[in-house]
Amino acid sequence: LKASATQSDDPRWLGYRLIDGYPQFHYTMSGADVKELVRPAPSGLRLQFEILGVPADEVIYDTDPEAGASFTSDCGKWQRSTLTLSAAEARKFTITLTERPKVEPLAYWSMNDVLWSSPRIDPAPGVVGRAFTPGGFGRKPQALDSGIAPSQLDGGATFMAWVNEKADSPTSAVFALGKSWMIAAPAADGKWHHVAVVFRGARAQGETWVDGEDRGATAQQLGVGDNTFTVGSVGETYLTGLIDEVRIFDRALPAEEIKRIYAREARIGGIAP
Amino acid sequence: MTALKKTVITMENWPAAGRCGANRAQGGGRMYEIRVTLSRCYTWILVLLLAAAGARANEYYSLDDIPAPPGVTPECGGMDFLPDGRLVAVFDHGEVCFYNPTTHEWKKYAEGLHTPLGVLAVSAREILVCQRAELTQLIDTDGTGVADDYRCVCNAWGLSGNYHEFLYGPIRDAAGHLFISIGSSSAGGVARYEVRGEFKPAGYGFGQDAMFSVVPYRGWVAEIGSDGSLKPIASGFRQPDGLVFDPRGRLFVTDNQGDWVGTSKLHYVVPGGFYGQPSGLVWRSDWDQLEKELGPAPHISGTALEHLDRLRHEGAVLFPHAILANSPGQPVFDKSGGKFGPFSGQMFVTEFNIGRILRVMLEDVGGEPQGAVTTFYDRGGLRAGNIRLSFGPDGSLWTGHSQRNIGWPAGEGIQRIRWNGSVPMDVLGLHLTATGFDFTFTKPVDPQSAAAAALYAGKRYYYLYHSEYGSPRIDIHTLNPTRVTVSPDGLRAHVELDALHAGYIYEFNLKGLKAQDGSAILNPLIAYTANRLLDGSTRPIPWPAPTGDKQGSGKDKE
Repeated sequence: LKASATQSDDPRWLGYRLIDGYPQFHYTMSGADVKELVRPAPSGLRLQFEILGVPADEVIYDTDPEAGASFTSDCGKWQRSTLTLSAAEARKFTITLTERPKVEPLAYWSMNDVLWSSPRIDPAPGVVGRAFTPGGFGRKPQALDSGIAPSQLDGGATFMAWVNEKADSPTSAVFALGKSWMIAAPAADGKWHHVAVVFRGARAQGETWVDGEDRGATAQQLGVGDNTFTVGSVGETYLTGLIDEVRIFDRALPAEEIKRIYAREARIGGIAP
Repeated sequence: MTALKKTVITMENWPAAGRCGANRAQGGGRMYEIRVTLSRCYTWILVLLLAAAGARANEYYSLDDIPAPPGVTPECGGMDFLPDGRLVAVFDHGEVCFYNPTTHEWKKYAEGLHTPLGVLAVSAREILVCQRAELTQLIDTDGTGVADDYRCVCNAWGLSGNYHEFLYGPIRDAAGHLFISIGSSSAGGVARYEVRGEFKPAGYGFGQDAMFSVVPYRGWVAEIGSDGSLKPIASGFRQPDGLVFDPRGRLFVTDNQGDWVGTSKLHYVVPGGFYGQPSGLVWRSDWDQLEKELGPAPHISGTALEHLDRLRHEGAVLFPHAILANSPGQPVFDKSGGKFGPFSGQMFVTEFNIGRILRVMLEDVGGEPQGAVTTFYDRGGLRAGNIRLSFGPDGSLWTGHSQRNIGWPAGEGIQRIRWNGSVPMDVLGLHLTATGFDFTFTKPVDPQSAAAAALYAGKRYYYLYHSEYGSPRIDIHTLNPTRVTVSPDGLRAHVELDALHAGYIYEFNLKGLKAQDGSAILNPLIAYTANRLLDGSTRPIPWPAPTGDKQGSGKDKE
């Protein structure tokens, strides 16, 4: 069961009923009639589905392995993050979402919609969707204050972003704190690169990953304090180039997770490994 | 005291609807929150001032404040009455509430809607609401008095995520068909990356600071089929914040002054018509041909502008900006049969920026409606932010007010206007003649004051059609009345002018006119839009070089 890529009314939204105060969403998808009742569950949500008129043998329920919840069901078969149900099973089944604390980043900027004050300046394409242009296109440079300080990250942190730095950029700052602390773009070559720096504690040295590859430790520590990290600038100096898919995690990501995120977004962005 | 004075002035001078600053409502984060907070403070100060003064009125109409529903921010987006006499009101934060005018009790019927700006009360168990993303049918399936089934009737227009993408209506014609109007998107905001519907950048092509239509049917009026399908019927609307059918079944829609709209106006809408704000033309079936004819974007000057001017229908009645209106909203016809005073059958229209209701007098000239506008109720305790009107079953007029949830300067809540039985001295009708105008009056005029030619020495002018924000008044000429004849019964004055010119607004100020009973005219300012003369002539396109003065600007406030 998959929404049509060409039909604009697929899925088609039909509305919702309130059952004991909770919404049962109603829509059609690929000819099937779907009802989805959302109720709270311990540490998460319970989704009760009723899918009728499935025009196929199976219904696939695909989940995001990086999501901030784990998924279980009362029927069907799971293979990794995908649940397969027969058409008969899909007539009534329940999926339970249980929160996985800290899996999702503390903050995430897709850069698709932030900071655009005029539709007349075409936003630059990014790796996924649109990108942030801290240096601007002949406009006043834009600063992005993350609102996150080292004091919020004392259990460890991971900084992650895609950056495309132009050769003439006056700074390489992707993340900065004050004027001396910086996570820099790995190359000013006008190409997209994925950069991730992992801190296992306030006093631990950063471990740098570029384009999914381990580049070893840096001398830099996360530090302490309540000043907040900026994105794309250091002081009044702005990176000339593009920044996309910025994440700050309040945990140290394992190597496999960094590689997975890099590989997935590189694939979406058509960036050769 | 200084601070208080400053506060009130700031409110009056805040941007009008449709002119909101770029970052206030979207993308501006912290700035937005601060401004909203301040605005709310101002609103409350004003509310307190009004409360101290009590709701006021004039000697002909009384004004009541309706208490707000408990726990609901009373930013009213729409009103209608149930057959049983209860009021149904929708509020910007998403609630639908019933109010019993007898017991003064409120009951919440539904909640969780997204900026509902219109309501049609079918029955106590079925309410239709226009919210931002859809026309929704709210059904109480189990008779508990609370809606439990929220059905999407239609959502087949686009959403770009722009903050200004309001949906207005629904109204129903005599045959039961539903109609809505779809606001254009503001240049003060953006189109989001993820949009609903086809994204067409050509909809940006009508000026840097103009409202835009990059997703389907922004700036259109549409009919909803009985199967929920969307039938777009007319384009060219900037912010069509009010629709109504006249007793003959003709559709009228208001629009707000701004880019491409030199002054606010009331449109008579016919299928296939284009009404001036051109961004939505990109969704017409003949857009490819039109685009070739207009040439390269931006289509804002030269032959493209003239082409658009020839294509458009001018408003049936123009509301002179900062003289009579800044941001009109809902029109309603007085069907009270005289319970609301002498204006039965005429139209009333809300004005958002100040506490005012306009009165519109229509007539047919050359087979199409045009006419005059005057004030009906001006301040006198009526709060600003007035965007919705609805006649109660007892013939009282209910007014819904809202600052619209994004910090625009205005009042909140619901008020009610009742006629006390005395007839004010006013112009009852204004009719174009071959040589001038016939004024009719609500009661016999004092012949001496009504026969003075100088009383009718108003002015004529027009507004520019262009992509800029609003327009000055152009080619202003003083009128030269050559003869005035007052009818023996004192109810009519026949005024002849030295000349009439199609396409001009004729503005009169009848201050000094008195009734035979000594009462002074209550609403002396009146403006007639002479799109067509009786000899069939219409305005020249383009206008010849003006010989008169120009005054005002699109940024003026009253």
